[in-house]
Amino acid sequence: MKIRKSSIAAAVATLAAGAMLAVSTPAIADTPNLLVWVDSARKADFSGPVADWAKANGVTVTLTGKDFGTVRDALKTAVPAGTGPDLLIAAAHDWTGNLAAAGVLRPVTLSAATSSTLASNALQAFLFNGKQYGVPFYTENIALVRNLKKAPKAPTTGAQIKNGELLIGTYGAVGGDPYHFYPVQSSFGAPVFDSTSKGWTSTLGMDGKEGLTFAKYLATKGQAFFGKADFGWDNAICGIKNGTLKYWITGPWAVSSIENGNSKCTAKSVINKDYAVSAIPSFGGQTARQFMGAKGGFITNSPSTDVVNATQLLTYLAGKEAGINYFNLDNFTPANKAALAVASSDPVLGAFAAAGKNAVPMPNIVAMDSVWDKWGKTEAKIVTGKSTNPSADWTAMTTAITALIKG
Amino acid sequence: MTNPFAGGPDRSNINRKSVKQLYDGGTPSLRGTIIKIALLAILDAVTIFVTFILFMRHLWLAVGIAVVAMLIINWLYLRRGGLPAKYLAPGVVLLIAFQIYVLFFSAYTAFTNYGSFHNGDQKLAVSAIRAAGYGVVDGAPQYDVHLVKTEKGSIEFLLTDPVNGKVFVGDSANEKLVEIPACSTAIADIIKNNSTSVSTADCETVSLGDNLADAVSAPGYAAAEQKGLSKAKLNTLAATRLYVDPANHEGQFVKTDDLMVAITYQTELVWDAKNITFTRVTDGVVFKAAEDGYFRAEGKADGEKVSDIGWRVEVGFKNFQTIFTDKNLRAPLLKIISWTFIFAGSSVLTTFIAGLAIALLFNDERMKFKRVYRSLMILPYAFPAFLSAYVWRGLLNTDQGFINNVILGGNHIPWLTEELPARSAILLVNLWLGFPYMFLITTGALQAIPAELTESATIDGATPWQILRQIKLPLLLVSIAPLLISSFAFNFNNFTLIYLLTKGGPMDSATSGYDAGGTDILITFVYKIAFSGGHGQDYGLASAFSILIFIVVATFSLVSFRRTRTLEDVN
Repeated sequence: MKIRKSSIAAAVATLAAGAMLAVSTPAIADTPNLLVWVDSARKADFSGPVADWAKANGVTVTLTGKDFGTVRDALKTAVPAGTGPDLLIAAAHDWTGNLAAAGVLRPVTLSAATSSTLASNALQAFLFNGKQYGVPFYTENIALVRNLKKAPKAPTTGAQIKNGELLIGTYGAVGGDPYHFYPVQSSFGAPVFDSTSKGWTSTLGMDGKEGLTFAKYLATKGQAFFGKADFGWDNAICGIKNGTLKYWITGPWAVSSIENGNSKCTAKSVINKDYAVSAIPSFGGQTARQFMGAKGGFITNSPSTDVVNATQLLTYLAGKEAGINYFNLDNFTPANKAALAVASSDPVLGAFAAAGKNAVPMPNIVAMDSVWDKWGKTEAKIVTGKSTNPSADWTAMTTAITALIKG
Repeated sequence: MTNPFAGGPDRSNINRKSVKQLYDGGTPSLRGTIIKIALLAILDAVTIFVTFILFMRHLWLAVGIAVVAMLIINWLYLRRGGLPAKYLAPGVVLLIAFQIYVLFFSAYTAFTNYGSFHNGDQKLAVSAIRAAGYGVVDGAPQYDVHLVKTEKGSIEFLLTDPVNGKVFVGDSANEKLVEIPACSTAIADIIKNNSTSVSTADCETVSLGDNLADAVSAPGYAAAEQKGLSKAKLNTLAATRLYVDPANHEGQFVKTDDLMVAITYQTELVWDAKNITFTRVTDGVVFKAAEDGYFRAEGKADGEKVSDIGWRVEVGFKNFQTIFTDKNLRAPLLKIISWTFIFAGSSVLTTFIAGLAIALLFNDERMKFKRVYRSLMILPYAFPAFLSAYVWRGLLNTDQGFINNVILGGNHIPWLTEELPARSAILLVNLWLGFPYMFLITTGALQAIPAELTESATIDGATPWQILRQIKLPLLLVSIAPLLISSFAFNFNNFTLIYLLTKGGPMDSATSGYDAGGTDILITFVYKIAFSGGHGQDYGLASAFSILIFIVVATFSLVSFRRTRTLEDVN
C-alpha cells in the first residue's frame, strides 16, 4: 500500500506541475489581423507598402516569406488543414487555375472604379472560369531588341528580317523555347488554347490549319532564319551588342547584360543609342502576341480569412503608390496604369511596356502544364530540320496533348 | 530468452529475487524520482498545451488521442515494475507517429481521389463553389459604402450611388435595401448645383470633389467606423447580401467585400444546405454530389460538372483499376517496368563485378600500397550521391561536357537527351557511384575466407579461375547475397540518381497519355504523377503505384532470400 500511495502522490504532483507548466493558450484573437504569404525573394518589395497600409488601418499584418517554387502546393495543403494565410502575394498568375480548382481561393471582387485603374490584360491574367481570382501588381513580357547601328528602324513585318539576322530567346535544339516563339506562332492565328470572355478554355487552339501553317513556316525558314539552336546566352548578348545579330526577341531580364556586357564583350551599350526595344513584328499576317506574365495576390478560401481587410490590402497593393514602389525597387512594370505612366519615363521599361501592349496572359488553366514539354520538343525538332514531316509531327503533338488533357 | 534483461553469461547465477527486482526497476532513488516527475511534467505540459489548441479547433478525435496517450505514458512511468514497457514506450510512440501513421495514410490515400481537383473535403469545395456562385452585373449600380450604427447598436451599410445620388440603407435582418429620400435629395442637390456644401439637417454628407458626395449618416443612423470591429463581425458584414427584390433570392443582390464599394451581383448558383445541392439559376439544373467527388447534374456519373472544384472521396479500387486497365498507361508503364528491372538488375551486376574484381586485385599479397589504393577507391562512395550526379550531368553535357569535348575529341553524343545514350550514361554513373560499396563488402568477405581453402585447392591443382568460381564465389555469396538483394531494392527506387541526372527524360513528344520518359523508373514516374503531372497532381494514383512498388520489391526480396537459404545449405 505504501507503493500505491507514493505512486498516487507522484501522479498528482506530475499532473499539477504539468498543468502549471502548460502555458495558458493565447485566446484565439478576434481583433483583425492578416497573415500574408509572400515569395521570399520579393519580400523586400512588399514590406514597405504592407507596413504603410497596416499602420494606416490599425491592422496587424504578418508577412511570411515562402519559397516561390513550393508555395503553390504548400497553399493547397495548408488551406484545407486550416493553417493557410489570408493572402498569397507575389504569386504567378498562371497558378490561378490550379489553385482555384483545388478550392483554396475565393474570387476577388473589384469595383468597376478599381478595375479601370489596372491594365486590362493584367486583370485578365487572373480570370478563371469567368471569375476574377486575383489582383495583378506587376507584369512582364518579351519584345524585339535590335542593334541600332545595323537596324536603325524597327521592322514592321517579319518579312523585313533576313536570314541570319534574328535570334529568338536562346532556344535549345532539344527542348525548344515555345515561350519565346509564341509571338511568331500567334501571328499565324494559332493560339495555344482557345479563349472566351471568361478566360482560356482547355480546348487547344493550335491544332487547326493555322497551326499547321505555322509548323510549315518553321520548317521552311529553319535555323537559317531563326538562328542556331543552343546559340548560348553570352553569344546572344555579344551578338546584339556588336551587331552580328541584328534582332533578338528577349525580355527585360537581358537588359542589364546588354548594357554592361560580359567577359567576351565589355563595351557599355546605351538604350536608344546603341540598341532599342520595339514591338515584335508579325510573321504570319496577324498581330504578334507574346505571353505576358503577371504577379499578383490571391485571397484564400478559408473560414478564418478576414475578407474585408484582405480585399482592402490587395486593392492597396494594386494601387498607384505601391505600383511606383515595385518599379523603384525592382524595375517591375506596374499593372496600375497611373503608376505605369510614371514608370514609363524609364526608357527601357517604357519600351517593353509599349511593346507588350498586345501581349496575352499566359494561360492560367491546369491543362497548360501538359503543353510545354511536347510543344517545345516538336518546335525544336522542326526548326532544327530534324523533322521529315512537320505537319505530321505537329498533328502528333496536338493529338498527344489533347489526350493528356483529357487524362 | 525469456527475460531479455537477464541475459549474459552469468544468467544461471542470478536468483529469482534479483530478476524480479530488475524487472521492477529496483528501489527508486529520490533523485531519480524527481527527474522522472520533472520530465513527465514537461511532457504533460506540452501535451496539455497541444490539447488546448486542438480543443479550440474542435478536433475531437485528436484531443481524445492526445489525452489517452498522455494518460498511458504517465501510467507506464509512474507505476512500479513493467521495466520492458518503460524502455519500449518512446520507440513505440515514435514508430506510430513517423512510420505507422504515414504508412496507413498513404495506403488510405491510394483508395481516394486526392489530387489537384480533389484537394480538400466537401465543406471546402462547397465554400469555394459558393464564393464563385455569383457574378458582377455589368452596368448595375456600384455603391459607395459607409458604415452606420442603428439606435439599437447594430451595424448597417449606408450606400450612395455616385451616378444618380440615390442613398440606401441596408436592412440586414430582412436582407433588403431601404432608400433614405432625405439623403437622396441632399446628394442630388449637390450633384445638380455643383456645390461642395455638406450636411443638411436630415442627412450628413461628405464631399468627394468633382461634385460627388457620399452620405455618411442619416436620421436614426449614426456614422460608424470599421476600426474596432472584430474579425467575425467584419466577415459577417462582408457576407451580408441585400436583395434588390427581397422576395427573390435568386435574383440580384448588393454585397461588399471591402466595406468601401458595394457591387450589384446576380446569383448564379443557389446552395441548398439541407439537400446538399446547387441549383443553377439560368436553367434550373440541379447539381448533386456525385460519387466521384464533384457536383454533377442530377448527381449522375456522366452529368455536367457545376465546377472544376471537387472534394476528396474514397474511390475503392479505382486507382488500381486505372493502373491495370488504362490504355494510355499501358504502353508507357510496360516500358518503364522493364527499364526499372533492367536498371536495378544491371546496376547490381555491374557494380558487383567491378567491386569484386578490384577487391580480388587488392587482396593479392604481392600488391604494394594497398591501403592507399583502397582509400582512393572509396572516394566516390564518400561524396554525397546528389553532388556526384550533378557533376556527372555537367560532364555528360552534349556540347560543353568534358566527356564529349575532351575524351571523345569534340563528338556530340547526346548523352542525356536521347534514350539509348541516356540509359547507358545512367548505368555508367551508377557504376561509378556503386562500385566502392561492393568493393568494400567483397573485400571484407574475401578476407574472411580462410587461406587454407585456397591453398589446399592450389595443391589439388585448381586453376585460379576454378578457385574463384568454385570456392571463393559460393562462400562469398553466402554473406553477400542479402546485401545484393538490398542493393537491388535500393536501386529499384533510386529516385535521386534518375531525377538529378535526366529527370526521367528524354520525353517522347508523341507519347500519348502519360508523360513517360526514356529513363523513367517506376518511382520517378510516380513522382511525376504525384507532383508535376500533366493534368494536375494525382496523389491517389501515385499512392496506389507506391503500394504496387512495395509489393514488387517485397516479393522480389522474399523470393531472393528464400533462394539464398539454399546457398547456405550447399555449404
